[in-house]
Amino acid sequence: MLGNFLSLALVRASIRMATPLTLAALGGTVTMQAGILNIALEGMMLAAAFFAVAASHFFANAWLGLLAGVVAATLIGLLYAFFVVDLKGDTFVIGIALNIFAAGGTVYLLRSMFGVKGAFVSDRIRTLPDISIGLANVSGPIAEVLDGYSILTYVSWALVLAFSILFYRTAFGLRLRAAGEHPVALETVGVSTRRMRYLAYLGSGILCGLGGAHLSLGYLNQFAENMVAGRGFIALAATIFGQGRPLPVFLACVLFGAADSVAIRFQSLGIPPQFALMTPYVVTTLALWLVSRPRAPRVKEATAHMSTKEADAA
Amino acid sequence: MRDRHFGKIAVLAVAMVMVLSCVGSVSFAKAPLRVAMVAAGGLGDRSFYDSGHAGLVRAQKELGVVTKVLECKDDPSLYYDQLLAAAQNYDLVFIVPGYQMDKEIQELAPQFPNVTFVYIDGTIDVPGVVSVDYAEHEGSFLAGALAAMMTTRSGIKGIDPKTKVIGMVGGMDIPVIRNFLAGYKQGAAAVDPSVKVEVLYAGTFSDPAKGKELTFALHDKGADIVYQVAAKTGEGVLFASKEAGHYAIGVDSDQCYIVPNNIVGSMMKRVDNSVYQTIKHAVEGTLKKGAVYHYGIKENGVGLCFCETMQKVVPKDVIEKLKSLEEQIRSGKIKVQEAS
Repeated sequence: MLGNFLSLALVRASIRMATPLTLAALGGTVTMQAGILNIALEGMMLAAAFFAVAASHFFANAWLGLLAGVVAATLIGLLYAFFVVDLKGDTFVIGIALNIFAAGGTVYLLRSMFGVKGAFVSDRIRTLPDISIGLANVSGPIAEVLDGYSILTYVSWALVLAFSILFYRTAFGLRLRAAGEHPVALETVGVSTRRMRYLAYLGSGILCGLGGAHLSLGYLNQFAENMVAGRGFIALAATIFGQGRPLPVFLACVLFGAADSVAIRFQSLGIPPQFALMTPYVVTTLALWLVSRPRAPRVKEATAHMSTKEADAA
Repeated sequence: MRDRHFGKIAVLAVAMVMVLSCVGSVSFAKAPLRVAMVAAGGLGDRSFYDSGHAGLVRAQKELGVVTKVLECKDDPSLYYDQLLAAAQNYDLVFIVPGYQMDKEIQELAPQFPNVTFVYIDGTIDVPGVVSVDYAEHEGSFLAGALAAMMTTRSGIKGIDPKTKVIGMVGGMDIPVIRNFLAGYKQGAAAVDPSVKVEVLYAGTFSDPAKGKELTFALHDKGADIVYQVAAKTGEGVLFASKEAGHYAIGVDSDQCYIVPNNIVGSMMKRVDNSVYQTIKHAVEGTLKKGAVYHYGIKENGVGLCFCETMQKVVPKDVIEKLKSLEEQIRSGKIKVQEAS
């Protein structure tokens, strides 16, 4: 029974489910490093999912679809940045507004552009390829677990590594973190906090764009209304759980992905579905409770610094 | 302060209700029948709601009634307002599916004695409300028989005759879905009692990605054929079957065209037929308030699609056997039990 339960399929399912979470959570990580909590991950992913499918349909090309998705999410990111950084709007209020905007906007466009309701599917939609990373000839469980996912799964792994280096091993990363931890110090050395924050939103948009496009083009080949289904918020939870550090954030995403696939298999063990389906949410809540206890959130600190800076400027 | 405000608001609310209900009760004897459909979800599911909508469209064309669809988009906070809006402006109000709005119907139906409410997909004990009840277990019986016959079949690509397992993905663990499951199990058992039925619930009707993962999990358990009863979540079931090279069974509408090579049939709930019939009764003046209409296989309310795609994938003798089973249910020789 247990052997059956902890199968390779379970691991593969966890990795599949973790991919969109990882990409979006990395997006959340970038802004968190710059001292901003990005509430609009969900909306950015949804917009990307829609435009990825739309462009893939129009051009019959998956890569143009991916590009369109990324551009759409980036535009939302820049809009978010404009409202929060320049107009000093409340990040929660703007973020929630953008999520609602993306949910309503995609439904509206779905109807006006394609004349359908609910879901859009067409033969012209090209999907992102699943790729082999050359382990096909290697036998054994490692190869079975690691080979043959959508290309964006591997991209997400590479990005986890890349962002770990970027944040902690480069001057740019130092400045980005300074924008979050001590904006005044950053300004004294002549780097614009505003610029760093805009870049953070830009990066967040690109990453959420990849996540959303993965969902609609890499995983399914359709767009359905509200298809992100809360994954943006789970990603946000992973960002907070990992405290904005790429590797812990990635592990949190895998944990949440695993919780999701374990939930599916719990049902087969005779646990009532109502309880089995709670698993991911219980795990998420427990995880957040665990990290929220020891230390005060960094974001608050950063906002405090920002207001002193603004006071000085005034 | 607070109390005074409350008083003002209360007076305003009462006044509004009075004005609105006056508007609502004005009726013109010779004007065409006004028919509304209040959908708990939204159109575009290529399934349940779209089928109901097709019935409305047909009635509009053939019977000259005025129709309108009010969608709640799975937002329960809209149920009351949409139902109220429908009751105020229309003569005949379909509630699709009724069981999502039990509380709202109980509250609103007595306030609008001139409006006929039609409870789709189940029955409700509110005076005057017409109920349309489908025997989804009868249709699912055929789906179960189909799946059981196919899964033990050798020589079909994507089906391993050695694993005697069939699957089902349900949207939520609720009575109507359990009815589907009950029929599905009985149908499978009628053909081959050794076939095992595995079921997984998504907990949502609108997450295709989840539907896909659930289907893969069922494939892992050896199910070559998965019956989807999960609306938009179910689209993921269809796509997963295509990707894995296995088979699916569609639901509510004929879904065979979505993944033509990986579907063995669709179990149709003819919401369109029943909506059209009910409107026809209303136009002819034969619709009895408080009546319960049963739509089973006998009434052509449920059944397999037997579409061209299905004929292509499913061997002839299986189709023959299904038709004979259908006949036996129609004649009452086979009685399919509802979920207990």
